[in-house]
Amino acid sequence: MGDTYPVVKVAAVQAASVFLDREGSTEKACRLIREAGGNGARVIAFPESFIPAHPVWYHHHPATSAIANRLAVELFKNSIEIPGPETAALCAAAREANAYVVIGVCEKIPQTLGTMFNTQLYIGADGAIIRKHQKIMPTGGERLVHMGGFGDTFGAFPTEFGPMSGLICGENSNPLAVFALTAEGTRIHTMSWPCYLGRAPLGNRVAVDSQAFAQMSKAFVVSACGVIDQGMIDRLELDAGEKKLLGEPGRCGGSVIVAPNSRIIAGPLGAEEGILYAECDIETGIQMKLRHDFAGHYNRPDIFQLHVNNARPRIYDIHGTRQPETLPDAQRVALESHLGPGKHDEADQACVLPSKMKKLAQ
Amino acid sequence: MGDQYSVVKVAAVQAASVFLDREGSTEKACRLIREAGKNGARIIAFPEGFIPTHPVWYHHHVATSAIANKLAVELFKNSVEIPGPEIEALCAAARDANAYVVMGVCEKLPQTLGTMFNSQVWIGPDGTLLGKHQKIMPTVGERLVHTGGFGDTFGAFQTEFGPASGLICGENSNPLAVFALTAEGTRLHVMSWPNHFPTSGDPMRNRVAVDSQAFAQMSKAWVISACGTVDEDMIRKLEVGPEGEKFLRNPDCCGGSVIVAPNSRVVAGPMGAEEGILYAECNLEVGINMKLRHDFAGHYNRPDIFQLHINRSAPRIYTVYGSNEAPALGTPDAVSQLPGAASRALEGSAHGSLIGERSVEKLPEAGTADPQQVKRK
Repeated sequence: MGDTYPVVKVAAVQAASVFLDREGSTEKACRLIREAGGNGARVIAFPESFIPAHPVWYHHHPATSAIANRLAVELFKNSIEIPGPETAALCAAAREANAYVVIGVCEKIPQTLGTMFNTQLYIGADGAIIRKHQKIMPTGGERLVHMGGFGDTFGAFPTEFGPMSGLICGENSNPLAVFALTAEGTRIHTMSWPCYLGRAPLGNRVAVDSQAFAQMSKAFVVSACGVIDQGMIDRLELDAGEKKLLGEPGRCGGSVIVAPNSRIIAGPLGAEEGILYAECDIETGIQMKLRHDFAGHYNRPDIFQLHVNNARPRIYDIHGTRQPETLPDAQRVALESHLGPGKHDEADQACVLPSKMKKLAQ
Repeated sequence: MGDQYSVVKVAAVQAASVFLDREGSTEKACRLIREAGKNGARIIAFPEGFIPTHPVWYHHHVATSAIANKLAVELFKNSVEIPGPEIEALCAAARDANAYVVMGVCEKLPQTLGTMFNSQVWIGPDGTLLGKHQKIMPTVGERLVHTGGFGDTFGAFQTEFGPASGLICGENSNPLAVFALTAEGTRLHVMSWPNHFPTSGDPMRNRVAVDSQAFAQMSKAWVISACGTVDEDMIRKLEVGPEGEKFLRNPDCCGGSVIVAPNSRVVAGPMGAEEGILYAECNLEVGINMKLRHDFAGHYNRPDIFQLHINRSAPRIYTVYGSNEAPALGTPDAVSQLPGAASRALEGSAHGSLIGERSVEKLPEAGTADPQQVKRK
């Protein structure tokens, strides 16, 4: 009977963050995960930086303005640690929904006061964190608040349906990233998009990049876009013209689900909140890869070779251990004669440890 | 005042080959080049395999059937040598038109009876042959007649407007090829497409639109996509039966040429199933604006994570060691005993260039010949 392949129901959640409110956004996300799971979705994709918001204010305010700084501080205070209480809540919701969840978050490193990553969190249907992906290159104004991740968080992750992957916004048209995920065999790819892209309509970009990724990888593509809500507009302190711009239909939204033959099989959604569903027959990929497999028979490893570095450089590295001051010779000789010949290390140690510790060490 | 960038008028020629007729297709191409040039086009793009045709019969006939073999023999007999009389005619037309011409041809190696390449020929407005690109990987039925080229014919071409590039059909969505041409700075990219796609999938025009917009998004280049069309002469010669004829006469089956700006917007076309020439004015400065946001070969990529290595050499299938005049049997490396220049030329000779290797014997005394010149002969 040969191999059999699953048909996977997937969901793209199109919704607005509870702007710059970590707890509120997490609660909203958990509710939407349960709803999508209740409707049978096994893969649930969320927009970029859904918790707590995408730093859209750089589309409107100068980089160093007081309001931009204030909102950026709020972003940090509402960013999440991985793991942390918010990821625990998301994991519980994923387990209840029995679904893989891909969600965009603004991540900070535990116990720090600075540096944020634009991260996609991958959670399994069993409620365990599979991995995270930190967007490798921030785009435009993101550069003022996000740092790029490294190869250690790049790549496909295993699921019960085979390899799955995700990328964030502009990464999705990075040809080398597309190739690398294709080479890792991705079958379902999730794209997380912000709520809008400055002055260019989001839906156009989403449609082109989703169809292009499907064509290059032969994966199903689940593209989840954010939307603009009044709560965000109020907090952004915009003038009348900018407010009008954000109210235009087509400015936000545009979630789609695309098949491996580049056909849009669900969506595009408009500017409304909602959950988009599609049934993905994984076997479709075989038919398409018979024609083109860019990580196999339809490429030329004798001409092109991509090298991927999965290592993460360390910015802070401790070499050796704290050494005591060198003992004066007379003291050393006395100690060595007490401890026995050749016991330099112990002599050093004995010299710096307080007397209590010395006893313990013995 | 800073840098200045050109506005380049480009043309996508959408037309049918004179099916399996090398001379007829060349004449038609020259006429269309002159027409587009007269209308001010400085870059003129043609469909895949325009001279003498694309091997579309494998969509309709069994690979080893008598008719498929017959048409494949005709394809070989009507394939072009580069250089050769057809290239000369195209060069003259390009010079008359004062335009860069990118032409899809079925290429064969001089003086052979077998092996064809699916090639794009690049000609300058001064009428010189700039080079060629041999499609690196044939797609489905093409595999029965075309062999893939190597890294030696891959890459952007230098033009008066900056680097320009071209790829053929499915190559255009090869992410590594797209990246490599982006890294070479392409500003104007030509896609050559056949006259129709397999009967089992979506119409070609859907693929053309997606791939053209995707390439623009990844490279921030202008994309000129030239598609072939189906004509009655081809339908008759294909002997496809009523169902095949119905498929080929469906207006969605062929055409769909487009020109796309670096912001992924379609600025001209898509054309229908008709023959015609699509024009657009390409302001090269638009690329700067788009690359401020994303430059996948620059600030918007991560060379510490991703590194693409490209092999630009072509392997040699046939290499002659020694010569008839070798001093004695048992000499370990007779090549090294050739005069210096001759030895260097032999080492540098290209894939299958038997003629080049033979000419080594006629070289003047060592040191008087430039091995690079020998290669070009």
